[in-house]
Amino acid sequence: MRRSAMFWISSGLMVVAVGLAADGPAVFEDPQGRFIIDLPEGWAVKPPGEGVLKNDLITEFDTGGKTLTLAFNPGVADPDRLIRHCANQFKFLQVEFDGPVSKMAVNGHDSRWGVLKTPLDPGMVVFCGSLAFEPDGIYVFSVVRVDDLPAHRDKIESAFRSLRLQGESVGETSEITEVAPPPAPRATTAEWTCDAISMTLAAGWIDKPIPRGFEKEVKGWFANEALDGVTGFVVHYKGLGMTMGKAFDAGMKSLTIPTPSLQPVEAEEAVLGGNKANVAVLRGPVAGAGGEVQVAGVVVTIKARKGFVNVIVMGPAGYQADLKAQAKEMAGTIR
Amino acid sequence: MSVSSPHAPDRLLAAALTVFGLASVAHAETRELYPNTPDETIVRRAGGQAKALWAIPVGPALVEDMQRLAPDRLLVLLRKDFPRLPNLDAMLVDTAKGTVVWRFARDTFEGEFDTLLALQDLFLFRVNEKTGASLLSIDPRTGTQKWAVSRAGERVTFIPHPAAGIAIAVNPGSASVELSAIDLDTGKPAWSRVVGATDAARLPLPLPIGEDIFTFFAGLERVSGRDGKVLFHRPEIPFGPDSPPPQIEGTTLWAVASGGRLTAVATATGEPVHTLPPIALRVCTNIFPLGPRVYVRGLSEAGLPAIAAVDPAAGRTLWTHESPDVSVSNLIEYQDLLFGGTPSSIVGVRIADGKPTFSVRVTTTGRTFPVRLRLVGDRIVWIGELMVAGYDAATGRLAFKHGMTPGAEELHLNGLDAAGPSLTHTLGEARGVPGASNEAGRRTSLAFAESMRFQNLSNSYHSQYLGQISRGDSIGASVSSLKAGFARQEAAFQEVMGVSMLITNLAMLYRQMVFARSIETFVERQILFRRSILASYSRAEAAEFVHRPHLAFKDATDEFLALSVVNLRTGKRADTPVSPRYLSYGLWQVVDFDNDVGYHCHVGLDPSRYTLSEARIYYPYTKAKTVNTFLIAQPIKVPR
Repeated sequence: MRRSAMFWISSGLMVVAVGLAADGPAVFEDPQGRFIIDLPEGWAVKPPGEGVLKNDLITEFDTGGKTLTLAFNPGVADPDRLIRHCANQFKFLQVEFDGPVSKMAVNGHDSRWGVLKTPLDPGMVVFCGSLAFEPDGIYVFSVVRVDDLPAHRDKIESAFRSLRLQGESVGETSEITEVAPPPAPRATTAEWTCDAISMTLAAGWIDKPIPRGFEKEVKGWFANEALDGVTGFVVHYKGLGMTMGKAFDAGMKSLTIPTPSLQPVEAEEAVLGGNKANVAVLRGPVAGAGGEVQVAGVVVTIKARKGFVNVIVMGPAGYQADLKAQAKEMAGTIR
Repeated sequence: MSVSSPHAPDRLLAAALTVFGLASVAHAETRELYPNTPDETIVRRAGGQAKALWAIPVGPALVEDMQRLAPDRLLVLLRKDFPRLPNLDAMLVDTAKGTVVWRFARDTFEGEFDTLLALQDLFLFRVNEKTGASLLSIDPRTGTQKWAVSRAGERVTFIPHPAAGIAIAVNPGSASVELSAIDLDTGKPAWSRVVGATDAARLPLPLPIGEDIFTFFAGLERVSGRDGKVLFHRPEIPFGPDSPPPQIEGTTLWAVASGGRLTAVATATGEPVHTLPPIALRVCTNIFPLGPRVYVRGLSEAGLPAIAAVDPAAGRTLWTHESPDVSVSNLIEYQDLLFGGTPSSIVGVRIADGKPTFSVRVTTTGRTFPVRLRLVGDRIVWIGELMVAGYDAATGRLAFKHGMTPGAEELHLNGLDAAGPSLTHTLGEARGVPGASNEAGRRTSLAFAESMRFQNLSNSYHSQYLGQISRGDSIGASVSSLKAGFARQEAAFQEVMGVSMLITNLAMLYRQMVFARSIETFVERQILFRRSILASYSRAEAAEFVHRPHLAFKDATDEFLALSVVNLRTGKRADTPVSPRYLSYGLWQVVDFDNDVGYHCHVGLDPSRYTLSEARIYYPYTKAKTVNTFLIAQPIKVPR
């Protein structure tokens, strides 16, 4: 559909008009100097840290009874990744993009803009956009009732078009093209093979290049595109004297040496894919960005044809059940 | 739903998944450990910013102390990142040229060094020994030893007193305490005296005043620094183990004598200045004179952390305020409120009646740390271990908040606590729900002892002066100039020495704690990192800025340790990557804000200079080679 691109043309005219007004829009400058945004009439920044989102990466704006949320993403400047991540925030609503996504340059910064719809509530849409401020990025979203679109749509879009850095001015949005929405995380399994073993990756998992600081026993390094911040690795141990117990101990140390706050919270013996396995779930706080977050790790040690394999996954503690289920699922496919 | 960054949780896991414990279990081969971040990424990142001014190779080294002592002089003490962390050289670096002016070999010393004084004509170190400690003097011009004296005894303390030209060795025994003065020029004994005192190790330490000292072992005494003679003695003011460190404010000495009696005497005569009421606290831990009032912190009758406000002129206690959280910061009065910082929040009570009217939660870590409160304009700024946040002092509205991510788990206090299971248990007990039933536990726990010291650290934590240090003014003083009585300088040195002494005492406390829990494997690293966090962060504050190391993590192949600077006035922050994240390097950072240069010890951003160390045991590896480190001067971004 072409509606989104048309929105940009019309709202561009509006921005010019507002810019010509005597007073001009209110301007919000991020106190950390990360971005500037113009606030349309009736908008105001919400007091930081007082809402549900107590995070200095998040800024919320009162858009006249509704909210525009802006998330700053240090080190992530890929607008496709950012808008997909934004859409993933609403996966519980089974959202999908309502047609193509607009690709453009907002004040010279590579950007995307799209509208999400949900089959669970046809009367609701989510505006979402992303913008690259190399080497960082921003995404924004705002949930709006379809009935309220006339009052909110232009303001939301014009605010997005005003995003800029210190020293920049609001210019015309240029190079608007329609592109396919970034693909959703893979919903099916995938095969993975290395020199010693093979495994079926659970849905959402992708193979990543192994960092050079990792041990040679680490055969695979993975991320889960559907579960933010979830990573995992597969370690293969072989050689005389290696036992299930030693491999399991090594797996536990792999988590507890670098993250000593992790404590075992579950342990079980299981049979996965016909092989005996030891499973442990660990949980604990990790310091980051001045606070603490609870993280969870799962170690699954299983006998393989040549030696033993540890499947180790780690991520936010909220995913603990998923982590355990997926680690066991993948370990059961080790060949 | 939650809103997040695509990598934000990843970033929080940055310390994980990079070191694996298998090697010690199954393989004895030598491992070569490199940073995760590939060279091309390091080169690309380095290309986006100013190049390092110089880099001095120092091998696999951890910093024990690093201080900027003059505009072009940096004192650096290194430990080898090998088992038991042997001492490496002390170095004086010419920062303008990037050369080493001199090196002082420390390989014959087994214990850690605490820098007690760094003056134009004297560097003075406390050196821990197996059965005592020694005082070591080095000539700052040549790096040669001037003299050294040893004292036996596990609890020996050295108190430098440059205004009197001496250092006082305090050596408590079971029934007495020996005070001996050591001449700072020659290291020779100046005088000594033995005072009968029970439990002297738990009594307040002597306090320099002018050219004299106050002692608190057999009542209050003022002792001449020149000859050790008693100038006045007030035996009716006895001190006990529950007495917090007395404080000097102007011409008044404030103290809590045995029995919880707040006392104010004239420093010159020892005569009472005010008639004061008993403090309604079961335990007093800190005295904080502030303008016309004096605040006393401690535990209430119910065992809760509490603060009592005293009006000395009126001779009465104004109010007592109890709180579930212990105050670990300096205190600030602003308009009609008294502000204090807890490990996780800022609390404001009305000066008039002690009623709480202001409370903001700053962080979720909850770890006890010597929090520093600053009033900048109309904002109250909370400065902690991993967080700097500013709030409108009237409304509590957040103005800015900057969190830091440690480069490794052993580079922050919570991580260190967790590294030893028995330490975790002990600290967990200490953090139990406060109340009378666990008061005994609180009073003997590490956490309580830490909090008490942090409160008293706050009396000495003088940021303006520390700002001067960051500009390199301290070496301008000399023993002779201090003897000549530059009062302002002397007061400033007392502040710095206060910080240094308390950090030394904390390190001793940690050592007792760690040894008691029989986790010797971690002892040296535990002590080094705990002490380093306290010492380096207490100096990481200038008039306008605070800086911290911060892990800038994009993913496991793009992770850099940055030097992060926060402007306390504007709330703006700037991060400068200084090295790829690697092992536990990078805790110490010193900033020259006149030239926007940061000094640090790490592998740096030039992979062409990376070389591997000799192999050694490197837990959990049986044998490992690591990338050698450099002492580096790196231009940094400063948010002005």
